[in-house]
Amino acid sequence: MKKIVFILILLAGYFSSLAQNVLPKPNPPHLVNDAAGVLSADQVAILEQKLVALDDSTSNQIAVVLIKSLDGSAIEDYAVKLFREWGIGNAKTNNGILIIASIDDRKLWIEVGYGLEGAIPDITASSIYRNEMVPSFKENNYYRGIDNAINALTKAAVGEYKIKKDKQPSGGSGGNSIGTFLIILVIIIVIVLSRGGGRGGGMMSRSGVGNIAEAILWSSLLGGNNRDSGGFGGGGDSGGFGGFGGGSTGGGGAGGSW
Amino acid sequence: MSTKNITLIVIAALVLLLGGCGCNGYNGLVQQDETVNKAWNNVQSDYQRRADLIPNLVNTVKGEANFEQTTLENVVKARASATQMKIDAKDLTPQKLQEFQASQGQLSQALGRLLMVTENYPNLRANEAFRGLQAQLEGTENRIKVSRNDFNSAVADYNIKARSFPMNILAGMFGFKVKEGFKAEVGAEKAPEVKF
Repeated sequence: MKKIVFILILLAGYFSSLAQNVLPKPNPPHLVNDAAGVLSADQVAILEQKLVALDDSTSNQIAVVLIKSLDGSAIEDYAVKLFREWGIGNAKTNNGILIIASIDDRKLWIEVGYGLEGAIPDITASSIYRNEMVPSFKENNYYRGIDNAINALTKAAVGEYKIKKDKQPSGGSGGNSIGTFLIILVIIIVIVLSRGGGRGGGMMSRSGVGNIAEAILWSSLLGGNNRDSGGFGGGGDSGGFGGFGGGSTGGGGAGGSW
Repeated sequence: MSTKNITLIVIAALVLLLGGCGCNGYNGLVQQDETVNKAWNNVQSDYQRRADLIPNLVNTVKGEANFEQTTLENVVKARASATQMKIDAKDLTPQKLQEFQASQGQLSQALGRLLMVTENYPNLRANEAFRGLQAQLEGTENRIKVSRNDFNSAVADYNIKARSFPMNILAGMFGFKVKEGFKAEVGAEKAPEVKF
């Protein structure tokens, strides 16, 4: 009997934790989500652009969420829940950050994913919260507070994660350029030869063979290039945000009131 | 002949189906058991993380002249007994979990008291090292909360599976016991308030 009661209690706790709803994941995905309506459209666009560029160049995902009210839940719980539901950051590296603020509650929180806890320990997050965000938020200048925080977090995070996605240019750039040069050289030779053959023989089949060889070489060249650059981030069009990667967090970060 | 064959086929199909279900269910149970173990290890490592922060905190606070000694001693004592309690995920009995929770709760209380007392020492609160430790401690308490919640929901998932029909038969056969999660303690487990 005791056991049954206990299980019921556990179940109740479980379902009540499910019942606490967070802001649904935006579709199409956006990194800047102003559900409170305190930023202008221009400000949202500027921040979004900045964060997408950051995501593309370092793979670190910083999401900004502004809500009107927490409906009574604690901001750190809300932050963890939303972070996990949206899956901010990469699922493997968990390199996501969530900047969340509830305007009516005057509460804000910087939630750091598992993978960035080393680069952004709680001390750093707490100092960014206190020094970069609170002063601007107190003046109701949310845009500047968020912008400052993004700059500071970016600086703190690149120390650890910059290398991962930018491996190609720093790593084998010398070898790559020689390889590209060789391929281009071969293509030029093939083109010259096939043209020469076409002129000399005057036969359709010969120029056909040349074209096919040319096409194969071009396609292999383009394919090789694509592989090196890592596929332009998550298969999205290069202008927008490709989507959240399924990252998780364990409650790292800092925040409080303003 | 043909009806006999059909019955045989039906029986064989049933056996296969049930066997398949059983295997599937069993594997699912094993998987959830592992999830619970992993969640438990996270809980322990988060508590360990808090325990690791305490020596530094104590040293920093000690630097403050004529700091209330009993508060400090209580924290050191509570830490010593809390770090002694290590439970392997395999033998996580309700009783052991309760003991674990009690000893960690004691440490939480002692820490909360310590941080409360520091409010009276403006020098300490202005100390950069102390502020850093406070931020770390606050983050750690939050991590503990998260990993405890994760553990509880892993336990709940596991229990739902282990107790619902027909898995309860299999669970009984293979010795999968119902597990216990953390219970909210009134006041004792409250994370120390950290204010700046």
